[in-house]
Amino acid sequence: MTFLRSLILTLGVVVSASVFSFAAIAQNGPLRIEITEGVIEPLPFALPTFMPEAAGSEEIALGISQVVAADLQATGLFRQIDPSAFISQTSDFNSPVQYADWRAINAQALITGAVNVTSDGQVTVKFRLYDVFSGNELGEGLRLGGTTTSWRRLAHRVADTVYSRITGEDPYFDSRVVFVSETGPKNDRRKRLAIMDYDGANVQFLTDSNALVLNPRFSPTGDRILYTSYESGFPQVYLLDVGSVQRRVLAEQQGTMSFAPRFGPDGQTVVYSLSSGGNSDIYTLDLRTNQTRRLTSAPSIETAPSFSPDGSQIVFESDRSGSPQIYVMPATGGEPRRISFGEGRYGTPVWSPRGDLIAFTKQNEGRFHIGVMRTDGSEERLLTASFLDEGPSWSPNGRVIMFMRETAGAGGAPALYSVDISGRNLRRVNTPNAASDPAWSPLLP
Amino acid sequence: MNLVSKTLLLVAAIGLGACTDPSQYGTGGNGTDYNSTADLNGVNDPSSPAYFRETIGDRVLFAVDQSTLGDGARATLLAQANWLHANPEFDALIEGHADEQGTREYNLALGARRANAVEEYLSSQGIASNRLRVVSFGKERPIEVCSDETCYGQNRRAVTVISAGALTS
Amino acid sequence: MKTGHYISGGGHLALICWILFGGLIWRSERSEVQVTSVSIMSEAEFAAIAAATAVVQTPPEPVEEITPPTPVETETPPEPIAPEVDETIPETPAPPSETGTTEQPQIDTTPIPRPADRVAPEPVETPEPEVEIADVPVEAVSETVEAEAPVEPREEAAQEEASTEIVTEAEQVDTLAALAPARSRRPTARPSRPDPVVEPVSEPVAEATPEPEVDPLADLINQAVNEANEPAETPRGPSGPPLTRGEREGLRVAVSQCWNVDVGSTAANVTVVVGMSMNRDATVVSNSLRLVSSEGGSGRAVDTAFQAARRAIIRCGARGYDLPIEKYEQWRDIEITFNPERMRTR
Repeated sequence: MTFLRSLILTLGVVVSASVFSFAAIAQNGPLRIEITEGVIEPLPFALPTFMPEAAGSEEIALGISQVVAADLQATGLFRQIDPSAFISQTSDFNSPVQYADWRAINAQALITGAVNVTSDGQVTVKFRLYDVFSGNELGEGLRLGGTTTSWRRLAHRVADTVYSRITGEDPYFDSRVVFVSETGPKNDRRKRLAIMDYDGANVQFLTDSNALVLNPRFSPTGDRILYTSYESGFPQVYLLDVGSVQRRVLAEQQGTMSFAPRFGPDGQTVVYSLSSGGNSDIYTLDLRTNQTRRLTSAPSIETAPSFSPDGSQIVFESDRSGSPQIYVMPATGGEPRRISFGEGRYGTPVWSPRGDLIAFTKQNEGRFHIGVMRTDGSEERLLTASFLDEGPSWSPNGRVIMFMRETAGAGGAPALYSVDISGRNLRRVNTPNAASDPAWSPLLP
Repeated sequence: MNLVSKTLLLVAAIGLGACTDPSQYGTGGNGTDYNSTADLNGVNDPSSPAYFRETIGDRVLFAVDQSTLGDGARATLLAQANWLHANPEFDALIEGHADEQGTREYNLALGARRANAVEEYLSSQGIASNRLRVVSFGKERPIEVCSDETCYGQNRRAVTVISAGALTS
Repeated sequence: MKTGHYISGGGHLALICWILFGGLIWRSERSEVQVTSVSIMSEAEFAAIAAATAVVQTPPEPVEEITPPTPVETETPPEPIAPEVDETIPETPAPPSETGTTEQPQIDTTPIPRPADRVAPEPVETPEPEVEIADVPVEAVSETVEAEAPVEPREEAAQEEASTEIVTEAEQVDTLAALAPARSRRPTARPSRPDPVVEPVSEPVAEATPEPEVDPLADLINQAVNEANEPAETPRGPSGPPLTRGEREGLRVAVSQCWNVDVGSTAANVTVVVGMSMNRDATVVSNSLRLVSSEGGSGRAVDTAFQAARRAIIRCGARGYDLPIEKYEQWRDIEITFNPERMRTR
């Protein structure tokens, strides 16, 4: 028995109920018990293919059903039940649900929907979410409208709603990712900015491959992108409008290099690193006035700045202590406070959208990790490990982190991965080419 | 990532032009990159960029995370300075590079430090600062592509790229 | 009987673990293959690009807008189905060219109090397999963490339990009582806890959750003492003997098997106490489930935590819990505390 237990503990996937968690209470009213250990497993859901409501709607109905299911499953928190197990066959969106049939196959959530595509390309999707064991509808039925070209967004919206209602988290599926698409050999990599849906669909390029581009970042409204480009031969910060693909250089100063830009939460302030005379410090630039402001002036390297979501603080990376570590300072400058004290080197800190955590890259003993810590540096947790993991970016709801993982050696290539902040559910994000430097957009409006 | 210290890596420049042509896919780069043009004849012409690259040595190497110049590096840079004195029609662009161990941002800053160390040395030898420019490539342009110290040591470098006089500045 | 329960449960879980674990390895291998294949892809793609000469060939056509509304009339469904709500995806699936027009997405900036304890700053202690995959550290974490949990005492607990079923063994109780402080109410926060935000005010729940996992033995003893003393000191309002430890444990285990905790969620910070009434057949009286109290969160997190607890009770109690009918008065009303503290983000 001890052996079995320790086996369970060692594997640590499902934790057995503890013998000690009994609260010892004088029972004078209700019987009271306390449960401190449950299970961690994906919640099974049933999603009958959404019903086409008109001829010609079948394809999109199927597509939407598949994307909704894929979104939910990719969180690691849900598991789709094979439709061949279904007992009830729903034939009408409005017919009452036979809960017993769904309980019998252990479906905890049931998602039903219907899709209507009109001849002029309008798509309407209706759906309902049921809590099977409670025998209730969870939230109200919802109807969403769009066009045949945006049906994937409709699907993401449906999945977002389901996800939010069940997990209580803010949604994130209806979002995009800007990244660097890479081709060519390792010593002559060609890089282009590209944008795609969060799940890797709809990739579009934003720049050509003539100039090296690095570290793109979305504005808080998702309509502009900051990045570093070698278009002039030297690294400079550029601002690109997603809609028009027009770009302009920011903060160009003769003889200097600027890089590692990021928007402040107001969408008007840009914080970045500027290198002059071999020394890199942190600056802000006001896009309205074009005024720059120097926030640090140390002989050490100060780079990779990121605003707190309330705009009051900036977290950044500095090697003033002798090795790269993470520091926090007021957004107006001022004395930085070191928050990373673990072994190894820390870099690319990014404040979470919820404000409670800072994600970072850590290098220790020849391995790279993506990790999170609280904003005072406590409770550091490493979520990943590999030859080279780098550059975390938060999902809009602060629940998932996307980052770059590069393989070693001459044939090494980077790819995008995502991981839940619990450290579970590591997944590769499909991209047509090698890809690096992902940056997650806010939730689309 | 405390690697074993690589103290002795601060050695003199190693002239190995053979590795300097990354443009195997023919996409060139910026026009003034003499380092990648096949001017083999020029190697024997002491006033040619090829001579500078092959004979004098166009690069110096650094230890992990460091930007200090060792004795060997200084010797190479002294020779570079002499060449630049003798050939005033040329300017120099100093590229700072880092190995792949480190974040992109940090390596950009580190490359800038390395390039700057070279620039300062050349300036201290009397090369006019308007003939010198620096750029950092961080870990973006490794010269060697393996993932161990034999390559990393070659990638932690500052390369002096000679160009015909008209660098903006 | 309980031992059997554990062995069977344990074996089952171990099997699951094994499957999952094996799955990880398998997946990791696969993902590595994919990674390598990227470089192959990229060369091909590169050739394509080189051929095409590099002009911004693909100016990303601004993603087509999702046309506004189409406000469909809200149909009122005939049946007891709730009304639908219309919502249309606003335009700007992507690139709005005007900057001014987009609303800023709402970002929840409230710091989420996160419990401190457990994780050592270096969770990845255990060597990862060669394979480049990072689910591993998680495993490693759980391992480290759980390893701290007192395993041996649990063993004892099992024995203990056997003897305490007989309420009348006063002597033993006495010995145990001598060993133990009346009740070890310990600070839930550990000294090292740096958490600036939290410190939940204890409220009704506290009563139900005094047990510090820190010293299981003491706890166990207390428990034994209390249980033994119960009948004498606090005669139940109703009647009949109290549930034995085993009976209570059975209920607890049954519910916990259906309590699915999303450890990365803000709801995993919330402890909820759920009250319910029971039918004589040990099923839950429909609609009697209610949130008695909560601690450690607010709003949606509490609701999510409650829903998860509710699902657990309903799902695992669908056919009735295993409770002795002759003691019905003892379990007619039940309050279950769901405390995810120990499962929280690792």
